[in-house]
Amino acid sequence: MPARPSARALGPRAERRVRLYYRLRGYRVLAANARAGRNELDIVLRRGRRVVFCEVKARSGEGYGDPREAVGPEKERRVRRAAEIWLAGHPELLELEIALEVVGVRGKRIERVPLG
Amino acid sequence: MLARATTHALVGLEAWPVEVEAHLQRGVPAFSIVGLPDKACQEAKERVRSGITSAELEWPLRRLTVNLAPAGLRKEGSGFDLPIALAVLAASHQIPAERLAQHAALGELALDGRVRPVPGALVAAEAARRAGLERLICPPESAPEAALAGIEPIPVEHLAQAGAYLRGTFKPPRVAPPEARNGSGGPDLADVRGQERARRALELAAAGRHNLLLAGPPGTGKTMLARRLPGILPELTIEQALEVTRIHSVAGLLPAGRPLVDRPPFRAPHHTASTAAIVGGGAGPRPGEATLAHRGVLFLDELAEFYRPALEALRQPLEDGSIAIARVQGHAVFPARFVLVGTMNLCPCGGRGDPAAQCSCSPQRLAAYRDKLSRALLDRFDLVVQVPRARSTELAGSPGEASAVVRGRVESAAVRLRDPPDLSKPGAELLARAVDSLPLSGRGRARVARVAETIAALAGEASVGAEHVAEALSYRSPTELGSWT
Repeated sequence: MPARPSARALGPRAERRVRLYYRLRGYRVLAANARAGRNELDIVLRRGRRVVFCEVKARSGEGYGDPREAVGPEKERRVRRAAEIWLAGHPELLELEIALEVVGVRGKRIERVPLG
Repeated sequence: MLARATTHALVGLEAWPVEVEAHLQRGVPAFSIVGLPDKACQEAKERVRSGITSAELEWPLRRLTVNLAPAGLRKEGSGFDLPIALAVLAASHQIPAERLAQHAALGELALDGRVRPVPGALVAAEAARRAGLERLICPPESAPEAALAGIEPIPVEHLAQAGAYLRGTFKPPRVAPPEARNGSGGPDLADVRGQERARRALELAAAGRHNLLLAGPPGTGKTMLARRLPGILPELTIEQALEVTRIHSVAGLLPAGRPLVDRPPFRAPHHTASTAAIVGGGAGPRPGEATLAHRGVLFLDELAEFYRPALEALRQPLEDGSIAIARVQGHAVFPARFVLVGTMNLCPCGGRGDPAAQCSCSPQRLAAYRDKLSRALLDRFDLVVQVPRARSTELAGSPGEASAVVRGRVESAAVRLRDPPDLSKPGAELLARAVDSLPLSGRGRARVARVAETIAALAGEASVGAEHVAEALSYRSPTELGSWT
């Protein structure tokens, strides 16, 4: 196995690690790579009365900027829109508290930030 | 999940009630403000959010819509921050909504949740009282001002304090309305040596609120004299003081720690001032210097250097005592009852009128200089006085009369002028002769008669005699300007 994973596999690998990360903290994965309208939701999770829509951003190393900076206002709008559409298909979840999060993966580090 | 707070939007010099509604709905968290907010008001979003988080209150993770009603009224400025934050807190059940509904609120939020003052607290407080509300939650700096309106101000330094107050766990200090202090009004007239005629004119201008033009070579004390006019003007009555305070409050000019303007204001705009700066203007009209000088003095130093349109725009307020401004966004009527004091040289080089200097102006330059002031504007100066260069003996002499002494005379004359003395027969005859032989307009005649009344009142006479009319005529332009005809 090469020292640096190929760029192609970077995203899916990061998303797999993030799912594990959440599950270790008591979250249940409701959906992964779910299509909602024209956009995609990386991971949808639930713990108790809280539903989290999670956007995963990965960078292979230092020098490419913080992965969390990669989510600008336009991307935020798309995640928000996708979440709304996805929720429309799951009306039973509407009563719950809803949160958006960006998770940055850089090397071995995983960092969570709430969005909006 | 709907809560309301009451606040006020400034339109001209008035405050309109605005209902702030915060609605929390289920769904993806988002925050939007509707109801015609301007840029500063739209940015309230970021301040309100940071403020609530910094106050260790909870930002609701819901779909949040804030509506500012009536939706058709433009909302300007940052004073909506505090009411929006309070409505959000009430909608998320962090403070009792019924208690909030009994209060008006006003204030800008800092990112750390501190409450900052905004202009117009006095008019907002007055409007709140008219609407039947008894308390106004406001920044501590605005509390004394709000107390003037007869409402109970609730001074809060921080959003957390406002929350604690509404939950009943914090008792804010009581704030009493400020008292008039009757301080002295700037520099003293005792500093002026000699210049007896100009001092006399200044006293007349103060007693009868006449417009005054001081003309003369540079360095003779024109500006010095004019700056001493506020010091001899009568005190403002409490109604007048409130009126002036309201204007200065909206303009955001109230000095910290002196919330009541109890002395006649003195405004001295620079001669580069634009027309809108002088008479007021802007998209949502804002008061200009003429309105800020209401009940006081508008001082135009180097009158001839001002832009001509700016000067001509003063003609209407000089007659009516108010300015009507119409803009697409709305119109406003601003009060503007001021004493206009102008100074100017007699020619562009300034040498004219000084016996020791030689005027080097060409006839063309002189004509251009005189053209800057229209006859219509000059006609509105009741008192035109030449200020000659003082002689060395005058400058070395003892100090002149102090402002306090002159003000005593001015105040008793102003009282007598409420019931002006009648024109005596010899006075009327002299005035009639003057109309026939001098270039005196109908307005000019009326103004001469008013100055004569002031002179008689200052002398304590029961009727206006010929000598009073004669003195009044001697101040009449343009003869006073020497070769100005």
